[in-house]
Amino acid sequence: MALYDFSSIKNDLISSLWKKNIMDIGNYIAKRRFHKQLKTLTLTHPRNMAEIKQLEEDKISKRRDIVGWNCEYQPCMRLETEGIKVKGGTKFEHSIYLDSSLKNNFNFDIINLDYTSQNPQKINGRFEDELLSLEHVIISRKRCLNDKKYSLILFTTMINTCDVKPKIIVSASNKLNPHSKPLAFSQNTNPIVNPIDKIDTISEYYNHMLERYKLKYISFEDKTIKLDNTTFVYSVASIIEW
Amino acid sequence: MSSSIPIERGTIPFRVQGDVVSHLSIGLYRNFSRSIKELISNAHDAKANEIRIGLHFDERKIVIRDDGDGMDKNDLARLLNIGETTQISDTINELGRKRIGTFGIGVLSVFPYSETIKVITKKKKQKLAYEVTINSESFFKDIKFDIYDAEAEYIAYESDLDIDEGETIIVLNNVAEHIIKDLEDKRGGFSSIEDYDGLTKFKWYLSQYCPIRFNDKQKKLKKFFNDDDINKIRVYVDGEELFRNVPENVEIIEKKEMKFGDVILKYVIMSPMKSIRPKESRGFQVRLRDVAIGLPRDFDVIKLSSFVLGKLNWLCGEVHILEGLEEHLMVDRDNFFYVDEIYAIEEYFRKRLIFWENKIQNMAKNSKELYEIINNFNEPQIVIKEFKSSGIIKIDKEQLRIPKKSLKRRKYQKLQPTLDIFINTLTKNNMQVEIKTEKTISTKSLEITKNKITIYADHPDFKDYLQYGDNEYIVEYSSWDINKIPSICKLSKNEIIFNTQHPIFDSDLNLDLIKNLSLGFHVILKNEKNKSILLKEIENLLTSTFT
Repeated sequence: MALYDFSSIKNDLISSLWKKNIMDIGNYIAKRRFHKQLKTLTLTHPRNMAEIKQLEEDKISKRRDIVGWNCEYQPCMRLETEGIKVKGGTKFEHSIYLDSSLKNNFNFDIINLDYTSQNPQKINGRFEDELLSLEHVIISRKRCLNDKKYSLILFTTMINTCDVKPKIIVSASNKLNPHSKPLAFSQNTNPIVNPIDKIDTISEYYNHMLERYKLKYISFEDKTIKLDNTTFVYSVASIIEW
Repeated sequence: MSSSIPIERGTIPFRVQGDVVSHLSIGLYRNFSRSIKELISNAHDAKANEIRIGLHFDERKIVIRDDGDGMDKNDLARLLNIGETTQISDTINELGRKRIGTFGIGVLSVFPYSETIKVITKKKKQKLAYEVTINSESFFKDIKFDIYDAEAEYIAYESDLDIDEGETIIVLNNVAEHIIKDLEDKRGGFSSIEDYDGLTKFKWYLSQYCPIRFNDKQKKLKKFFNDDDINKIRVYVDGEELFRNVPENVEIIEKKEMKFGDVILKYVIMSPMKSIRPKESRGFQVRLRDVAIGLPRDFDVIKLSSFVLGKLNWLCGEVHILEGLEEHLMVDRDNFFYVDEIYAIEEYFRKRLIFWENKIQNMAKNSKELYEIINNFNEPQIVIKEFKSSGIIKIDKEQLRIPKKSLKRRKYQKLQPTLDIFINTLTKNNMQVEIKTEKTISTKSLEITKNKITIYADHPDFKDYLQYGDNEYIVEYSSWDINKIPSICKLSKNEIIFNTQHPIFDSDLNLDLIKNLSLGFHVILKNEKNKSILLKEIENLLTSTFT
């Protein structure tokens, strides 16, 4: 069972952060088209698919061009009644580096890594896996670029009292790209406890990927929403030029 | 994608009652949409608020989920006990609904269309979800049902829903290729529903059959049929909500509640004042317990009446049976057994159709006359707009096939001043007409208030003119003895007077043609030495040829 009800937070994020970036990517990729028909992958939940409705309303994606992902079997069954393609039944952050059919067909224009929709638990290692999935997404997307120059990546995670171990992130990231400049955080060895420092870790990681994969951020916006004294939701919206 | 970790496994018996199989045939579910309708009826009876249908063409899979009461193991066993009838009950549940299903064969509806059917269900107030897979393909051979007793394997696991929530998910796997092909079909006709693209056709049938609500735009229909949104089941296909089919721009022209013996019904008759498309929407849709009984019908009015009913395709309606007739419903739910009340109902609606067809024919005729007159006004579009907004003209010009130019005289053409024709036509339409002659010409030719039209008779719109070259001639009518003056007309400087007694005006020739020709001849021969003789010869030739 979810610890928090993330539905209202999602609605807040859509109106204050995601919608504008969704409209912008639509203009970047398909400026002249009325129906943009961009391909979207979204981590979502049948109880709140507001982002899918927003994509439809803004004519950015049609349902048939949307892939919804949920890590659990039962929500996946329910998502299948919504007219979108559904994948999942496993954690996305694991599948993106284990599932070759997913990696090799990663041609999405909009990638919504909303980990708050996946029943996030208060367990160690969750945050690290989620953050690393960003780099896997960059690698997979780059492999399947075709003629598309831009992508929108939305990354949303829950920051709580669990320690974040930067060593794990550094080790895994450097293995992905051993010939490039190694990742280094300002706090490289000790577990990170403070929520502000955890948010800084995310920013540092984004900067590192910019350099490592020669990306350009057309836009980079973030928002933090407090759930209680020790728990936050942090969301980043970035439009990437390849 | 694998299912959740099972807590329990077993089998559920799949049984067939007595002589149910003899009622079953491919004909029972000719149409895939009707099969899905049965599942929707089941969800309706299970008190679902909504049912969602997801179509996955590339995987040949259809997933249907409702949020109704759900089922436990015993309920599943009852579901799979084919032919176990439920007594017809008039009990209204807490959602204001009467039970639809009675024959116990609803679940069979989808058997002919997929290789396997998976049912996942969780009952309200219980924790476990049950998942059973039925090898539906094996119960259907050579386009016939071949139902036999069997055991269906199930697993049970902890549901992620709240304990107070229920659901039933039905997954049709490996749906028959011809069904997928039909749904994916991209043709684009509009005359018959069979010409529509596959997905639109599928949604149209569901919207026609199912006990769903009218669109919010249909306020009058909602009010008359007590269409209580809160208690109606909502049906979604690929995220899009379906609403009851109502042709665009219909007006209710008649509505009543009637009694025929023990049968009580409510009905509306509607028309959009043009031909209704698709053609399957024409006629009356009969509903019992809010579910369509067959498709709209005209009760064989054309076969059984001796009239030509050209405007029948402008009529549609809804007939909701409020009480009675449940026990007379056939197994296919397309028809009733023919009892006295059915006979009386059909006879009644045949008469209503003939009545309204006649009325619309007259309206069309009057409207044509008005359009023809108004077309000669200075600003016809403004006048037409006013006539339409006041409801005097209800039919668009495009629906009336007003011929542009014709040699033949139109039936209703009269040799009268436009003003007189106009006044007559308005009076026939039950409009109160006031005529004003002003010393100065009004800028408007007429004014419309509630049920009255004020005509400014001196306005140029009501003067008849003919044009020849750069000259305009005022048209007047008179009558004189053709033995004394045989001419069709008299022409002066800027006026032409026609003799209404001349036999040429009794011919089949278009009156405008006669008038224009007469004027033309007079003008052309104006300066001829033998003008009178020539005119006489020409007019005699016309008269002898066409009378």
